[in-house]
Amino acid sequence: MFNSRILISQISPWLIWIAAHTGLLVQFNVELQPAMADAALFATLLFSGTLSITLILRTYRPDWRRSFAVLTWNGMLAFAVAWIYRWISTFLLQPGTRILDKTEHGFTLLIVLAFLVLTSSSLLNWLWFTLKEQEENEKWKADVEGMAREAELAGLRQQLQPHFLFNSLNSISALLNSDPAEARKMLQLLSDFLRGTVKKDPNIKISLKEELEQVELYFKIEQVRFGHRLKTSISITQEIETCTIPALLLQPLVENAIKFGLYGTTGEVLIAIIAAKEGNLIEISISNPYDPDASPKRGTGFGIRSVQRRLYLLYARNDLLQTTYENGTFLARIRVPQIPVMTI
Amino acid sequence: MIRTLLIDDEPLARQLLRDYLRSSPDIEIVGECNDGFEAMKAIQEHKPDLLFLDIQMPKISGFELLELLDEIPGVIFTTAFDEYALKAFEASATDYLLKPFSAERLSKALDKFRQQGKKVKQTEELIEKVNSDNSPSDRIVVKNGADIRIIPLTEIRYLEAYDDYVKIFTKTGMFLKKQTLQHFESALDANSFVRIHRSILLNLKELSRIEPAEKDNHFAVLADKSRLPLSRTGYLKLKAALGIK
Repeated sequence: MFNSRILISQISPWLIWIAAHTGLLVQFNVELQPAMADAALFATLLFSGTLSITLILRTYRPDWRRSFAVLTWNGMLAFAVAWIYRWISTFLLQPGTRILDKTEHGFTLLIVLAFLVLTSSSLLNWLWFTLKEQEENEKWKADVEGMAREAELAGLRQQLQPHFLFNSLNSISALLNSDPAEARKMLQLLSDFLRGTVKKDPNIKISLKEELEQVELYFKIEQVRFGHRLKTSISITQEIETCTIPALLLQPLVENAIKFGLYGTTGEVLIAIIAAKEGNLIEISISNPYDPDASPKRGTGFGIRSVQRRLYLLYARNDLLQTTYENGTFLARIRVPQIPVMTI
Repeated sequence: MIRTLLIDDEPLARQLLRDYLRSSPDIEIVGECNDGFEAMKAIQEHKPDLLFLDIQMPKISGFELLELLDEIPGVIFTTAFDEYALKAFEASATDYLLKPFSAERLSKALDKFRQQGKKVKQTEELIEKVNSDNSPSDRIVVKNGADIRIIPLTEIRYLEAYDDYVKIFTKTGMFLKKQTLQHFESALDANSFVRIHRSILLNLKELSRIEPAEKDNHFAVLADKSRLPLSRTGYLKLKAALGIK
């Protein structure tokens, strides 16, 4: 569709153009009416010329190396405009009232004038369409990036390890015979946990309390499996329970703590989570025992990296997750800004 | 009677096996183990005919445990999910159970074991396959009697072929492992470990300089001043690995 804004921007210079042309002829002692007729005729022809250029450039935009072809085309068009003007005006207007008759090389002058107008019109059109196309490109790129980011976030969140699921089901199978009530409890824990992971949208933030409840479900399941040696502690002050964090942000870190702290060792282990407020941030630290010699060798660091990446995508910061290892304890310290997050 | 050992770090997983095995009167459970270290002792003590073996365990994995055994009993692996290992299982005659598994599936595995007896060869092939499929490991597990040592690759100075064994020289001492030098050459990262001699695989980080000896021969001098002989091809390989022309 031809935009009405373009039409107005195209027409208004021509009205000024006609006024100037008329004024000039009046200066040469031509009466107003024939002066206006002459101006209108020439302007209409020139306008048709620029319109044809606009229409062409809308669909076909030559790169600058082809500009010579455009200039040639403009020259031919300028000649045609001047020639048609001269031809029509011979029939319509009295000799001597035309701008053509008022100067020595009138015809040549008109061709040059028409050429300049057509060329500047081409240039403006070219710029305008190029800018518009760029704008559209940018928008498209932003859309694609947004979608990619969303997909990536969803992917990073999909951390549920099949290992964990199948082992839990195996425990239920064992309990069904020896302790049906415990089996039912385990089934319930597992269901609640799974519901918590599938229903949550990674773009949505939830309260810290809710996030830690999910972590607690996970701990309880692992305690059914390894109850004899897993101790956990979660400490959080009441004032920050309502602070929000991106859903399931802690899960990969907690899984990491279980993997290295519990699966990687044989004795009794304590996994501790402490959440506290620190200025505009909430700081959550997760600690677990770690034995570098005896830990599972595969999959090291993926959980940490995925959280790092997610924090970067959400907050554009790389310093929000820090991990340290000291005296047999691995500590992951995560800080979540409490400022409005950009939504995607 | 089939003397059987249950090895799994989860008590409930062992309990399930016990429950299922109760209906097989020819199975005698001689012990239960929480991890590879306990299993090592129990195997030496009880000499079981059959192992139910979990793969992911603390300290050392089920595969690493089997590597350490002089004589491998029959093995039925139990695992929840292990993509890379599953491929290896399918290519081998050793049976495996995917948790959670049914009593029927278990008795099928037992039938297979009873018919075929010990599948030592297949198990060894399986271990070899798993090791080669796996990304380069960052450690080597060795044993001395019932004592198990985990040696990080960074601790290794060099490896030397010694009959059917490989001597592993580390900063803290020398360990023996029943393995070929060939195996280590292909399993370890070629950028860190270079075969400088028919019988020596050197950790490049330990090299301090190359010294000429009589004729065209050379020695590799290590950080602790000890010298290792270089073969002619070893000398070329070492120069290539260091980027010297």
